[in-house]
Amino acid sequence: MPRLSTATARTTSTKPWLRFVLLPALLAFDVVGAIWVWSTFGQGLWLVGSLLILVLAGINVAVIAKGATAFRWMLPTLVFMLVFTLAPIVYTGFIALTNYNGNHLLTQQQAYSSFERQTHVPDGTPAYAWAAYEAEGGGLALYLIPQLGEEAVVPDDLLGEEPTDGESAQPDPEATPSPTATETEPAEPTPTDPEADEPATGDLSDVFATAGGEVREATAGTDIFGAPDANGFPATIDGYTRLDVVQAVTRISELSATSFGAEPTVYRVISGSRAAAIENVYDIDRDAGTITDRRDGTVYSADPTGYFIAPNGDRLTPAYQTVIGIDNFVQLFGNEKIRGPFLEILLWTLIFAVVVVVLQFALGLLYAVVINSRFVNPVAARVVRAVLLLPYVIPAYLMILVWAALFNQQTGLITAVLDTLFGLDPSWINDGNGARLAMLVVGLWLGFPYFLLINTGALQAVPGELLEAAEVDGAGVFVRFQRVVLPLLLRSIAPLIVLAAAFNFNNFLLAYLLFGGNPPKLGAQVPAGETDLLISFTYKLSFDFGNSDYALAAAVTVLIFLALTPIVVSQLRYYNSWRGED
Amino acid sequence: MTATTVHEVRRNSPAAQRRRRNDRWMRLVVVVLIALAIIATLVPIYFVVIAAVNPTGSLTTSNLLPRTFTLDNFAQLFINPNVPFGLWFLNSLKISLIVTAIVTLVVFMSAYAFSRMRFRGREGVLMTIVLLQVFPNILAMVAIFLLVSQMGSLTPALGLNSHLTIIFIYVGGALGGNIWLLKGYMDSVPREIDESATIDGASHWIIFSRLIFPLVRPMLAVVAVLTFSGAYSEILVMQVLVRDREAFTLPLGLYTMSQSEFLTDFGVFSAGAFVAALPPLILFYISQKWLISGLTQGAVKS
Repeated sequence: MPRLSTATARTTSTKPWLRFVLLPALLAFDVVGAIWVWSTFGQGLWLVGSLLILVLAGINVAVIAKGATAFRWMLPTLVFMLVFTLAPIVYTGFIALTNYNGNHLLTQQQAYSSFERQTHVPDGTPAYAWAAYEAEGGGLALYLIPQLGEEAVVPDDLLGEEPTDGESAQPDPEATPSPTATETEPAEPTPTDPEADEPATGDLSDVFATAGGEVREATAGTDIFGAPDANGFPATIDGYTRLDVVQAVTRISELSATSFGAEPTVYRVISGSRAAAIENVYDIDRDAGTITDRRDGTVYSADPTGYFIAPNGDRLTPAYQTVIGIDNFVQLFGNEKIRGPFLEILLWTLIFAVVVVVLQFALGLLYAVVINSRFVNPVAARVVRAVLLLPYVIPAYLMILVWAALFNQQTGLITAVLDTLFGLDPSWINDGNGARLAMLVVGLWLGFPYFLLINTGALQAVPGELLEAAEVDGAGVFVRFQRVVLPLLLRSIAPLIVLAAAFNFNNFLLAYLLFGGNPPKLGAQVPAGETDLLISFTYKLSFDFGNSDYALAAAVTVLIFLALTPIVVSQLRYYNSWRGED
Repeated sequence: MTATTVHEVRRNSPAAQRRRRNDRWMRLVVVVLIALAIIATLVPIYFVVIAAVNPTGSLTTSNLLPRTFTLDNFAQLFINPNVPFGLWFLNSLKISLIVTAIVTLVVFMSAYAFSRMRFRGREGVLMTIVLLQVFPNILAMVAIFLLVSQMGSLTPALGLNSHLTIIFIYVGGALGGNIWLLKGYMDSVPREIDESATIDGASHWIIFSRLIFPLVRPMLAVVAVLTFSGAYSEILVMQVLVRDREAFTLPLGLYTMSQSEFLTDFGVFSAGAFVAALPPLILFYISQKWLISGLTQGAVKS
């Protein structure tokens, strides 16, 4: 198309000064972007990092490349659709192959870090009395005096594991009890540790340790340390201010969360008056994939199932996420208590999508014809249409919530009226078939106006001459309708019917807000209900009450994608018929 | 109608008499059918309205016909500190309007590129967009949730509990269908118009803003209305990504209301539903003409 090449030539020869502004700006932008990407990968967030790289690359091409006019115009679309539509779909496919769930939230590296942070006070460790000091530039320090013959005893609420990322706030319903990871209790004495039996020998000197820094022996009254007070602590330390008792108490949580000194000797405050040397619970060998418990020498090895497992079968928490292949699909189709409910939900989803759309279309068509007929004058027709469109215009969630109230077993108006009129016991709504019927009614109510709308439009496009010709040929009303109108209509709105079926296949709002998928299926090992559609089922698998089986939900989603393939194919054909116009 | 002339010619034939008798029956059937549809449509809506203005706020058969009228339930929405309805309303309007603005602009730009430029990969990208339409982004909710949690660990503004994240996700979900809609409409605008402008030396930007924009304004309005309604009533993404009650939008707020205070406060919920339904109702009936032609365009076109 030559005309467009001239247009392209025009736009690329934009004002030269623009380059002098744009290029430095782009450079600065790229530097910031590169740092961002770097830190993203540093955190092991490979997906976010890759997306960022693509987006940055896109922006650079758009600014620099000469012939990229069209690309420039589409860049916002490409970025939004890549990050928020395409990437989630691809990522879903990946998650379906992992064991990502409430018990396996962390990556393996994050799990290692979490074990690295676990510390304990070994048995028989001498206790120290402590006083806290604060450096002039900020930063805490401890002065420690050994307590002869006293062992460090750790109260329960101190020295807890430091919080990991935000994700660890998730509930962890069936966490495997870990045999050894609770460092809040002193460990069993181990014979392999010769020092453990002889605590607090008399030859310990005072210690001065700064937060995350040096540890050294100290004596009050020498060097930088001022003269000792009644308790033996130096009253002053050069460069530091002593925290008085009140200050120390108000900052106790900060103090007890701070590690004083550096590996291998680290001290922690363990109570209001005592501190002790701590050590890591685990030796970690990332390359070999093993974690060794220092207290009893147990070696836990990384297992393909995403756990660290000891030879005797004990598992450590937290577990981690890992690729487990098609296990989720095997579960879906192999585990009796999952397969049954899953297949039933799949069947209901298909039935619902087809039946509700056929009814919506039929009713919509009927009323389009009726309202268009010569028995209704045009003004009345307009009013009737405006009224019948209401369910389409009012946000669906509102009316679904209202319908839910109307169908309520105890207080619902519909259940009450049916009880009064026909003696129908309101419990029918808690029966699978009753609830499904009600769901179809509401689905019909919600979707019928849309089909009224498009059928009305499509009918107006049916050429009047065709109908007249048919009439002259002596065809009756129904024959005319069946032979002339319907084929024309179907040909033009078939793609919309298919899309409506896809929409109802995924009608989350209706399935979830009307009955929450209830009544529940009995004997299911997964949160499945009689009126659940696949999409509300995946939602419940991932986000409902402590279920966070993301991987299984993703596997179901992948199957939804597959189930929608015929619709994709039909859309492709539709697309090809449109393409002819270009 | 030309058909009526045919009728007049044969007015007094026996066939015509039979037809008139039939007409009387048909008219009755039509009236009954329409009455049924109107009743079925209005009954649930009627109940919300009644419950909203009823002091007891309950739905029982005994008070189907309102004897008393009160606006207390509406007042509750804005007085009761447990129900930050005003805040939810503002959140909803804010998010929906921003999403609408971004989507309308971005869709316009892309549709223009697809309709007026020819470039390598055009077919592929167009086809991808058509196909992605089949998969609504709520399908990939699990992935979106995990992706957003990951983004948030570095950039809280793009993480959980952030309206910016919500806005971006809504934009991403609204683009595909609307680009398709607008591109089709733009294709029907004769290219001679911008061709002559191109020859006169107009840049894409000039053609885009001065020539095409006024011509496709009706369809842009459709895109805007559809996007607004979609964002305004979205509930799933919001529920998964936002935990902070103050940051809720109307759908999530009303949903939690209907769950927790259902039996006692149905009146307040109904009042809230009534208010929440107003913006899309007003918007729809203002833009009705364009909207209907826009929605049926796919049908009319072929």
